[in-house]
Amino acid sequence: MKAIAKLAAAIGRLFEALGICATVGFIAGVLAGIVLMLFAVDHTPPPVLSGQDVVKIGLILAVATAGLLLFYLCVLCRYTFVSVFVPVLVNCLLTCLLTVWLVNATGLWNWAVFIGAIVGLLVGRLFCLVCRFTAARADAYGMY
Amino acid sequence: MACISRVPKCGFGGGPDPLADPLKKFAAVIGIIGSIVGVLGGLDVLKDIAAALGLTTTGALAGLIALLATLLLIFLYMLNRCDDADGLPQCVAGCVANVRDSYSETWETLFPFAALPPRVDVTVKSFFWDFVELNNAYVYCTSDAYPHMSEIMHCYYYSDRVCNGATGALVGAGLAGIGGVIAGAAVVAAIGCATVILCIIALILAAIITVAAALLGAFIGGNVAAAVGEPPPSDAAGHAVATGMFVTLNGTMVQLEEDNKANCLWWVHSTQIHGEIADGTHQPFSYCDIDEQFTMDACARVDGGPIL
Repeated sequence: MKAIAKLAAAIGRLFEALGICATVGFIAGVLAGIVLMLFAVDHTPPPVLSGQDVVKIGLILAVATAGLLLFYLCVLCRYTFVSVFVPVLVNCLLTCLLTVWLVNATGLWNWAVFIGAIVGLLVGRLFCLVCRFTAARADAYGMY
Repeated sequence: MACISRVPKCGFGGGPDPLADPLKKFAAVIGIIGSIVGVLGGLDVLKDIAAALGLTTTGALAGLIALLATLLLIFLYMLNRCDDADGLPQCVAGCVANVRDSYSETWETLFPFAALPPRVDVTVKSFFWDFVELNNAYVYCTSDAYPHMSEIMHCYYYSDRVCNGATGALVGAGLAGIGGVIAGAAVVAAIGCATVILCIIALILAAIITVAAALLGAFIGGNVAAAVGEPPPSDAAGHAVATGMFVTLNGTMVQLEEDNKANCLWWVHSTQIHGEIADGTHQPFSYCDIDEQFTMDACARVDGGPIL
């Protein structure tokens, strides 16, 4: 029992190093990947999606993952809704759209979970860097 | 009033953890479940496993994965609320600034598995500041300005009620979650899989229905298990700890993730009450007054440092 808790704590420490954006992106990517993989379980061979379908599915997954994350962040982590709404939405949107596009383009539906995880981590990390850069620039111009 | 020249290190010791502990728990749960499901899916054995479990639709499979993730998350909370931490034995003394009961906030009733145990906030004597600040920890302080600004330690008491609440929530979530999986599978079957979009929506709905059912079960199970009240934190003789009391607390000190990585007692193992602060003392209580009025605490000292 305690081994699971220790494993979870060790994984948690990894995310501590990655920061909140990458963690949110990772969660969104894995969840999107699980849904895509489950879809593929019932559809062998999986269909090749049109560009329109990629966008539609990406949007649906983004809304679902953002909704779940916002619920969790605001209720259990006690972040304020205003502080997390836009970053979480943009992060989920980019992660889910890229994950669906990449899974469809490569045809690796069975590995969608890992594709989602990597995409989420990269998008989140990039998002953090952009936020830090813009905040630093704004600071330099005396906007804050 | 005997204030000292040292400035308390209030706020960010080494920088507070920007990642809230519950989010780390959530990410870890998603990481573990995602890895297992991802590998099974990648090896193309997920369908066979689902069939072996009697899950005939992917909707049921989506529900089952969502249920496992929810149960694992609640289980991690339960372990945390029921177990002692690995930390340093520590003695602190000071004046009680605040007593926070468990289930004192709405979110704790709604999500009983996450409820915090009873907490006593102690404005410590200046002698103990080194321990509050140990290992670059986050430091809670009073709202007074320097030199009256004082360091506070959060001290948690083990609570059967909170532990039972978390355990009850786990059982409730498991039972209701199974119903949720069945309901989710039925919804997927009703929606059908006529188009790719409908298929995806159905899978998401199955997962949402399962999680909602599990959380409802956790709410019911947790609140039923935590229905029996318990006495507030007290000393061995049963005297309840209250604001304004001088206390010596012995317990296990850890940097608590739930508390911005501040050094906290989780749990307090023994409590000694030494009296009350003088009437009319300025509030919030300052170490300047506490050092002066509370000279003889029960923490043993060897070479200038307190030991148990």
